[in-house]
Amino acid sequence: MSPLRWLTLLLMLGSLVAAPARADDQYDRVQVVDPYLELHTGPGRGYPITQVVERGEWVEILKRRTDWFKIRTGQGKLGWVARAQMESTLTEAGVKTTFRDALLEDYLRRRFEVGFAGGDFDGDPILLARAGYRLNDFFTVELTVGQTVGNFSSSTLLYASLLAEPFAEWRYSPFFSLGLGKFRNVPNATLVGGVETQSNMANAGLGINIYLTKQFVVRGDYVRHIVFVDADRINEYNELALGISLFFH
Amino acid sequence: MFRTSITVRTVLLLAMFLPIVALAQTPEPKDTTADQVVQPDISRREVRAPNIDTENYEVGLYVGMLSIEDLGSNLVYGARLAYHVTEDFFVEGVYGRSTVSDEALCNLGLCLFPTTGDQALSYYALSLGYNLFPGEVFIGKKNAMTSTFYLLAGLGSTSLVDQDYFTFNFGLGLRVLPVDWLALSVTLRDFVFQSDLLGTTKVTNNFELTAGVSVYF
Repeated sequence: MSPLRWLTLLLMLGSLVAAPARADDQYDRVQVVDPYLELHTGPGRGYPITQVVERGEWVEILKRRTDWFKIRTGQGKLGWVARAQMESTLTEAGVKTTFRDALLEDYLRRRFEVGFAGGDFDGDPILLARAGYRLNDFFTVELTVGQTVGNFSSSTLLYASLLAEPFAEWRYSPFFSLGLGKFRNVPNATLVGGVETQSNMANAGLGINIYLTKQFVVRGDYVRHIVFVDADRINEYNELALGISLFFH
Repeated sequence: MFRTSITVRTVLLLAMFLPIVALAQTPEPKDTTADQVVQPDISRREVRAPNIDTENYEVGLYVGMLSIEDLGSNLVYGARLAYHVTEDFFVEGVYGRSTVSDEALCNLGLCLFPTTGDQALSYYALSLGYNLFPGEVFIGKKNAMTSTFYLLAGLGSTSLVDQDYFTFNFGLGLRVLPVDWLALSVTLRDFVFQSDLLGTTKVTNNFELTAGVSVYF
């Protein structure tokens, strides 16, 4: 290849390799308005305050963990500042920053939900894990996996369901669910002649979402499961569960 | 003495008060052109929501010893994923694997498991954690690292010899952060489940002591 082409290739590769990590000027800067900001050594009120930042100084926000922000001052001092103190700082545009807490509004605008629940499945304890995606204000699609352990066998449930929540903006919001999935039953090894079965399953349920605080929602469910064991037999189970969900945007 | 008229004296008296009156008046704004609206000279402010990297998730590995009641202790290793909700509370999920052997009992004539040798054991648990004592640990004279003593409680399932046991777990531990994205922790946990391996159904306490490394992201 000609020297020019080698040079071009080298420059292209060089630009790929030298992809910059977040440059200093890409961190947001805010100005301190309070008499001083307290810098803790760690992200919590239990960690000691070792430094302060005075009014008028500019600080860079490096990252956030829960309600604490790690900042760097102009002199290079690092520390963690509580959200309440950050709220009164000003951005470069001269407006107050909006480090809001997760509010009820965020709950109403939620998109993804991940939750865990425990309960009773026809007398046996059951553990459930769920992941859901809100299609709109009314419908949510959800995937649930559950495991129940009984005296003679343990069962695994995997089903997808559609939830309809007519009053999603209420704090105590009821919903109705319909689901389809698989039900696998594994008898205990100590039983003789136990056969592992896998069947189709349908379920319908009622539940209530209670918005607690921050990102937490408490959820209670009653679901009736209908398992099509074979052509002649249909088993029905009642499940009552209580759990906590976390929601994200 | 000059004889000044009354009118001249009145005018001079009034003239004395004129500067005070002039000061009392507010100065009128000077319009460059009388028929043009005042031009605002404010540049548009760029209001941008801050884009800050959040670091609430923690992923890590751990290794340690798990002791199964009546059946001895074995090495356990696992993975852990945690989400910090507030500075005080976090939720974590763990998945661990270990082995169990009934060799000691088999030598006495009581063989429990269908096959000889080590049986695989695995468990998963979802727990809520509480950072009870945040603070710092000091190593030598110059090193201080943030730390926290935490409590755990949760639910899960233990799978042993193709049988699942619904398990509660309680624990406590110490987490030390040498840098703020890395955590070294030591955890002591008690897995509680009902076991019928020895013939009678009883609640067993199975202790686990592990050391783990995790990364925040």
